[in-house]
Amino acid sequence: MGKKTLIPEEKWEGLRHAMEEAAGTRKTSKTPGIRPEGEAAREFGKKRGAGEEGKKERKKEKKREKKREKKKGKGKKKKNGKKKKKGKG
Amino acid sequence: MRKITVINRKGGTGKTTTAVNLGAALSELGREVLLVDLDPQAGLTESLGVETSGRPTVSEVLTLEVEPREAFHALPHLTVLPSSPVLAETERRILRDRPSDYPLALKDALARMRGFDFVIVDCPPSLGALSLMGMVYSGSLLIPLQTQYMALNGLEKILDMVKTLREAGFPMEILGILPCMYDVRTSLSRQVEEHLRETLRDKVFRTVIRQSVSLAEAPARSKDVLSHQPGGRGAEDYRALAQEVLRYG
Repeated sequence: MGKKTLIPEEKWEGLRHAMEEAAGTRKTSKTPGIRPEGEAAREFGKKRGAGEEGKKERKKEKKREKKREKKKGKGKKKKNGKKKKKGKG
Repeated sequence: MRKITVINRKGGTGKTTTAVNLGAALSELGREVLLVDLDPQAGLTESLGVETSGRPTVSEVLTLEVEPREAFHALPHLTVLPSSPVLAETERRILRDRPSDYPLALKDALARMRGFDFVIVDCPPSLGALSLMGMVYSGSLLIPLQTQYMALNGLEKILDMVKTLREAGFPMEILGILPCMYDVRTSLSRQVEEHLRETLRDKVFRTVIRQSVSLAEAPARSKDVLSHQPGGRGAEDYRALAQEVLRYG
């Protein structure tokens, strides 16, 4: 027969957690490995953003500009065309 | 000078017994020991038969009305900074006068004190202002713990408080958890001790304070257990604890 447990396991787990926090030995980061901290981390993030997202955005903007230019160009021709028609009549 | 605060928010866990008898055992090993009674119930003061009427106590020291030495009561092997019920009013006064830095009151009051190898502070059974003063003064906590279920709840609360104080910038360490009132005949005592060691490992003293009649009798004789029954189980346990404390430095 197994040993009769008088105090539930959760109680001990809670104590272990409390002691780790009190002693300052509890790991706060769940992801292992070295990562930059504080100001360095923010700079690190910004640079990553500037490198990858910046390129994509620039490409998208170029495409948008081209589309706008095409639309503008078509519109002017139509307007011009109408005016010509009016002038002829 | 090594400072130790004996604390547990639960009453009757063996705080005063531990403060007195650890002090006596360290004194027996040739160390100069000061016992500070920070409990308005003055259990430590009474258990050693210290008379306080008409004399300054820890209250006047905390409010900086007298120098600590003026309030000391010298016993043959120990020095006591006694307490009295007036301390409850003093606590309220300090909270009113120093609302932002009251935890530093004892540290400030004893800042210039020298001449002791060990200062052992006995706290009241609560986590009020006086206990915080005791915790901040030493930054090193000895937690006597009854080997019973309800005692574990109190331990969690103390650990939470330690975390809060550490985060507030006060250096804090758990010197150790001391299993007290250990009854070898009950499976609960055995199981709590066993699990405590499994869970908290090196934070639990190797020494266990066993249940003993001599520990209960000694205060009635206004003595520590080493003077009352030098060859008894209680004296033996506290001598072992003193050795362990000395090993930790």
